Amino acid sequence: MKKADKTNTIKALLGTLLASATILVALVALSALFYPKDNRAEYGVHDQEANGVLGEPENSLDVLFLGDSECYCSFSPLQMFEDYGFASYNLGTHSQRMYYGNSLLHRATEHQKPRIVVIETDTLFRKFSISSTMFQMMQDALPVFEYHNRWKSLVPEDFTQEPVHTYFNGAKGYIARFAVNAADDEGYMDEEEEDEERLERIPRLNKRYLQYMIDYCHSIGAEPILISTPSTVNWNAKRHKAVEKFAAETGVTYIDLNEGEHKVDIDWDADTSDSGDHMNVSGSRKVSDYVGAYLAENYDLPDHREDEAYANWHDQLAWFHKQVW
Amino acid sequence: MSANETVIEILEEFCPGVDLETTTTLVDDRILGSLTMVALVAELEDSFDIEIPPVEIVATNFNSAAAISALVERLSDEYDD
Amino acid sequence: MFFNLAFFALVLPFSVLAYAVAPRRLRWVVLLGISYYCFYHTSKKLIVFLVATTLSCYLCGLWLASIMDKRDAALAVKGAKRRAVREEYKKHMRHVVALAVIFNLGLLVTCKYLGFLLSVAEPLLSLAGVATPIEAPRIGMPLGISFYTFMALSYVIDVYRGSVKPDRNLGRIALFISFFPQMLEGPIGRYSHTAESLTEGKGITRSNLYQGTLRIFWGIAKKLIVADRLNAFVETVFDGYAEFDGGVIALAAVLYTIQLYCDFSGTIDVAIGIGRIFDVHLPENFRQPFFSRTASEFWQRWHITLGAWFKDYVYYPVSLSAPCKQLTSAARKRFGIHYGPLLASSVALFCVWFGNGLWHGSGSQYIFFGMYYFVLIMLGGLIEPVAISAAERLGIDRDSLPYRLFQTARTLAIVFVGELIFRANGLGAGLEMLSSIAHNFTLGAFSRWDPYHMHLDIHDRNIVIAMLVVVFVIGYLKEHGLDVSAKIDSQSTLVRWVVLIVLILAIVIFGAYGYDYTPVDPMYAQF
Repeated sequence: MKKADKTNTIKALLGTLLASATILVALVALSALFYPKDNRAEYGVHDQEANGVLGEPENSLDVLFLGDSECYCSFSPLQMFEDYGFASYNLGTHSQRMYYGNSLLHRATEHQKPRIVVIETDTLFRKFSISSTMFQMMQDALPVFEYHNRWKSLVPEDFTQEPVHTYFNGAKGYIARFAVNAADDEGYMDEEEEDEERLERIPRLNKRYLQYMIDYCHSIGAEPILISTPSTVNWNAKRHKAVEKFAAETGVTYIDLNEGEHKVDIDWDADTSDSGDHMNVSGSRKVSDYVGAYLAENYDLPDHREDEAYANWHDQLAWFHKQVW
Repeated sequence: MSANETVIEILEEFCPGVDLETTTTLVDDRILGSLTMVALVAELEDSFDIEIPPVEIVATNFNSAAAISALVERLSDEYDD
Repeated sequence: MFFNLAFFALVLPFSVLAYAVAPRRLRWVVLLGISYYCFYHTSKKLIVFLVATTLSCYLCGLWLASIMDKRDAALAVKGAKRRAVREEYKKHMRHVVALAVIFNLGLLVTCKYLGFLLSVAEPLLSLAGVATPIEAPRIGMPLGISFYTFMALSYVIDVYRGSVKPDRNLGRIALFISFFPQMLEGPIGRYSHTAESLTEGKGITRSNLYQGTLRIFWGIAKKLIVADRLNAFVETVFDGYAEFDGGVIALAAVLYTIQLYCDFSGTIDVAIGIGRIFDVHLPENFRQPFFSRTASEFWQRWHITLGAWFKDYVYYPVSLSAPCKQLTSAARKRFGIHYGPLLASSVALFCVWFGNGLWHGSGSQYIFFGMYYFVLIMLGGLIEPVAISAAERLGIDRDSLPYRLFQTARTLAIVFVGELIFRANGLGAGLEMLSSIAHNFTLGAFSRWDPYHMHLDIHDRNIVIAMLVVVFVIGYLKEHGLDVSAKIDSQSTLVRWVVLIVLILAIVIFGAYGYDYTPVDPMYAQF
């Protein structure tokens, strides 16, 4: 290589480096600008219910629930608090993919030290691409990728204010459904004998994420638990077998509420809001009762009911009794 | 009459008002569109008793009267036994 | 693994790097390896279709070469009857070409039209007394089969025509047919145009790297900022057209045309930009189509490589075939040099537009779309002499600005109607939408516009308009001979970087991606 060529190459490389650094700095600055200034929907925050966890006092939560709508329709933290005394939060979001659940888990555990992390298993079967996981990482590192659409609603305060998290969710992430639409639960957990493939494969990428999340839980001293909530639409023997196999291989606790020793007695005429897809209020009551009892019995969870710091949970419960039950 | 003169005479019918001695963008400027092209090719084939295969219908062969004349002469040679 | 984040962030940088460090004579192997990796990643087992097309065209090229060698030997013999010898060998060669065409179109039909053919065949068979229902085997579509099949066939036909030398290098043929930037949506390249630069292994230059990168981001900007933003509105109206009045439907037709242009030309920009980095100059597929003055000119500026393919391999061969020539000669004597050839041309044009419609798919709306342009372009040919003399008599200057604007507006209207038919969910829906525009046109919906329901708010409107102004200015400059990309490239380093950084940040902020949007696959990839 000629000497002039060499200097040119070095100059070009340096230029590229400098320009990349400029872009990065710009993206960091834009992230600060676009990040919602409060964790409320009217400030543009996404998934307000789940992100409400940011408004909870530091190290106040014992249990976190992760998953898609199956999760946020099933597990009611307030009910479990009332009956068993531990404090939990539901991080379920609409059709949550595992990469997003993973981000929420990390986001929540920045200020919380949960003892138990429950992963609702419907999310294990939601496929996604490597591109989506990369995009999630970009969003986590540089919020401008998640909140760029706020260019439409920027206000002068966005340029000056530091973000705060004043919002906390009254139902602690749980979303109540009141509708009643009966389901046909005839044999939904039966094994189809003629079927050659006896289990539905958990997609490879999902399995990796699950393993990663389990390892992360262990690293922060939390116990991961897999739970399948009752659903005639989303659950079946093939999926049960797949999760059972994974649990056996990794030693993770797996509880299926649809059948077997942990079966919850669901009245499929009254307990589902949309013909077996999701639990309604009455269904979630049964599920929360079972899961709350199970966790309180098998794990050494504190009882906060007499704790002054948790006074606000009682206020929420009063509201919850009036609004939901 | 030379080939070039015949070509110009034929072209005058298809491109009225174009200075055929100087224009070198008959195809590029769409003076010769694909509809006219078929008619022009038929006329040239008849007048010179040649066959113009589709492969020869490219801009470089039809952009000017001179180019067309060259094409016609080349094809006449090729078909001479 | 195509045109998504993983492609741009992992595969593309890796291929540029691998290409740069590979020794020059192995660089084409890098490109071929990545092309096959991308194809396999998307289409898996269906890669056998690509291999079959590649091998068949390679072998037919060699076969043609051996026939040509024999022909040349025969021609060299003294006193040979040149014309007779030529004719004889030409017949052989024609058989070889026919074989390649039938085999490869057969593969294309199998993947793309089998279901349609069977659905047509079934009622016919049941009429004939055969009552067994036939189920179409589900083969799936190999990535880009409509595009690469046409490229592969153009190679064989060009060899037959003598405009391309048969290639003995199987690797080069394979790379020409599968080059990864082109695989998704073209442009439909020609062997004579790109093959050599694909295997030359030229180094990556600063200028090519910059202009290629700029073009890639420009394409992404058009797609993400404009096309994907319009998608939800267009989908809402086309899927539920009965709910909307003619004004909204007309707007949807216009916005769909804009969406399609920004999506398709944006993806092509990405392909050409990637090629540029490797010093492979892929053909342009768009040349400011909305400046066209006639429908036929529009098609010389829109999806250029498809139109050129049909012109070279269907239009001229058909219109210059023996029966058509006889028709032309006869008609010319009766109707004169202007109207005479129209008859033969119309036969050829019909083949072109039927083929063009069918190329997009077997749906009735595609066939109708082709026929629509066939009729319009024929009419244009018929009316042109009349229009010229009428304009002369009325004293209208056909080159004056108002007349040109009128022509452009008329052409745009034709294009909008055509794209409405093209996008509609079936021909019936398309016709009903057109009738709604004609009979139920009001602007009422615009005064009570519901941004949430329509998926377009005032900010969306503003950003789309702003971006289209930029697109227009760049197109206008290009139309007048100024290449903006080359101009920027000739500026100082600082200016170059500022332009690129601004473009990237504009995409990050104003792109219609992420939480509030559903990602849209490149639209022409389905064809």
